[in-house]
Amino acid sequence: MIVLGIETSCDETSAAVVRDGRSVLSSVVSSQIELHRAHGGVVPELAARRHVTAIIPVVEQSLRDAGIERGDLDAIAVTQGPGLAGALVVGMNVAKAMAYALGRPLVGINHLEAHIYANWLGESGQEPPEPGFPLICLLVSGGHTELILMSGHGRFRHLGRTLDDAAGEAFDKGARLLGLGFPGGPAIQEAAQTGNPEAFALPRAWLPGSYDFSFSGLKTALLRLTEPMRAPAADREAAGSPGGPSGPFREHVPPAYRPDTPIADLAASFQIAIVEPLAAKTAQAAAEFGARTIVLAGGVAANALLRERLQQEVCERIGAGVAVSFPRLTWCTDNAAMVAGAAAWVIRRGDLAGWEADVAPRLPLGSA
Amino acid sequence: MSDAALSPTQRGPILAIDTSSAQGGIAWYDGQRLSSRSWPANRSHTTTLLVEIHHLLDADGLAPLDIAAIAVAIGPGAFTGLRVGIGVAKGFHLATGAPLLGISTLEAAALPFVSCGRPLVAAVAAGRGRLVWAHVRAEGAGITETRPPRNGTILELADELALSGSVIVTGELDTDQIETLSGIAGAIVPPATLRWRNPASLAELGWRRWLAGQPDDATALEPIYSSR
Ligand SMILES: [Zn+2]
Repeated sequence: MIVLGIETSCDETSAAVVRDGRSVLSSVVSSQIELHRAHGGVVPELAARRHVTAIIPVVEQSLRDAGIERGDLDAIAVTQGPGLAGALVVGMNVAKAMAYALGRPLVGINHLEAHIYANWLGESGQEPPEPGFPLICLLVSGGHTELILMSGHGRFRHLGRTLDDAAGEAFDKGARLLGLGFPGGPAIQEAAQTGNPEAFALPRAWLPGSYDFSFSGLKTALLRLTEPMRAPAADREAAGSPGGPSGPFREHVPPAYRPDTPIADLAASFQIAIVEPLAAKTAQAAAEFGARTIVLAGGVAANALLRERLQQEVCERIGAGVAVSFPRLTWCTDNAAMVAGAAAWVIRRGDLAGWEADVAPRLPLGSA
Repeated sequence: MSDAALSPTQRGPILAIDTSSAQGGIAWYDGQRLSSRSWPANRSHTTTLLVEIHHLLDADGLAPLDIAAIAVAIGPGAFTGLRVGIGVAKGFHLATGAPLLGISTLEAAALPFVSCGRPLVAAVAAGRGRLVWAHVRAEGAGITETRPPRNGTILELADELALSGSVIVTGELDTDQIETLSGIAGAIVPPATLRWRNPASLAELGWRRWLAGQPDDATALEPIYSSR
């Protein structure tokens, strides 16, 4: 079964062709990072606009790369939610019309489920072993921080989520406060390399007795800590462009700090404060539910400290018997291969979408 | 199925799609035969548009591959609604290769009155009670906006019309908006159902451009984002 997947839930326009939920025949991602960089975060209206003009070349490229013709497709899959409403609308309507005009079934995919099924993907002939159930997935990106128990195909239980900012969003906001650029995760990780993570005691929201997370207090603490370190207003004007908003979408002016500000120590202390609760609660959930596998998903899965701490926590709490795996980075961040991949399993459970299908910006995971 | 089998017939009808505002509209038209549907989509274009297209084509025994080209309203209008129509048009293009024809929503609104020989203003709802309007006139086989479209309130439109003399005002205006215009000497406001955009008008403008061999670049086609 050959499925075309389309993903436009946030700031990546993506299309991919996947066979049988396992073999990636093509995966094309048109990133909008440059578009949003000047704003220090994703601007929903700008994202929706870019999807409209990016979608045709991205889909055409995915078919060319896969070496197939439109008529070879068995189904069209599209991210239904969660995500930005205006962005989801573009992919949903393109996918619907394609499915209708080709006379093929339409499959609406839960974006969170797609992230998990990225762990089943490989290049053709190099598919990884199928992850064993039960499985714990930590999904961490700019849009989500979710801890999910998967006990079998199509059987998901949401154990916890962030109560405020997503982990990737916390990295973005921290990076913005420290003047380190966007996206924040890689920027903080790089700045933290030479820093001391114990230089500043930033708060961790442990929320005992739950698998939820919270990062907004951490962001506020970083703001309080760094405010006195900023350069006087006169220097700041010289560093950034003065004046009000330019155009309808305001640009972000990075803050300026005194020359002796320990940016590396601040970044390292901030990074460990995000990573520690993520790693500890994931390992704790794996122990409680007897997980055979732990998988990471989402862009923050690329964070080296998170991978390292998670391995460490798992070894200490459970031992070496639990496999910890990460999909290839290109399938960790938002992409359509995971959507086309998940579709195979959704089709197997007979869950097709009709022409009246809607986007679902707050779509929850299916119940276990 | 090979790609050749999926190529649209060159002589078939065109499909017209208008999701610029609350009233959705679709039509197929081949220069001689027309079928159209118009429905109160409100904010549900995503859930209703393809269902309506399916019914429209199916009722007349047409298949998606019979559609030679697609005319789609590109605004001004509500951004999300416009992206629904343009998204469906692009999906069709990806599936069958049917060329796309982007048509101004204001020109479609103006078409039924453009040959009346009077100055004409066409308006479309732009969300949150605002309007986008333009002064238009016939020019050759098409319609020309004599001034760039303006985004404003009904009071700003009323001020502008007060200086215009005799003028027909067409497009979707609600009862309060019509009340505001009623005191202006020279402003002629036709009955509601004649003012609403008829999908047949969009089909007509699309058909003319299709015959002229002037499709748009499907990739670059996007809504007109009228600014404040
Ligand atoms: Zn995601």
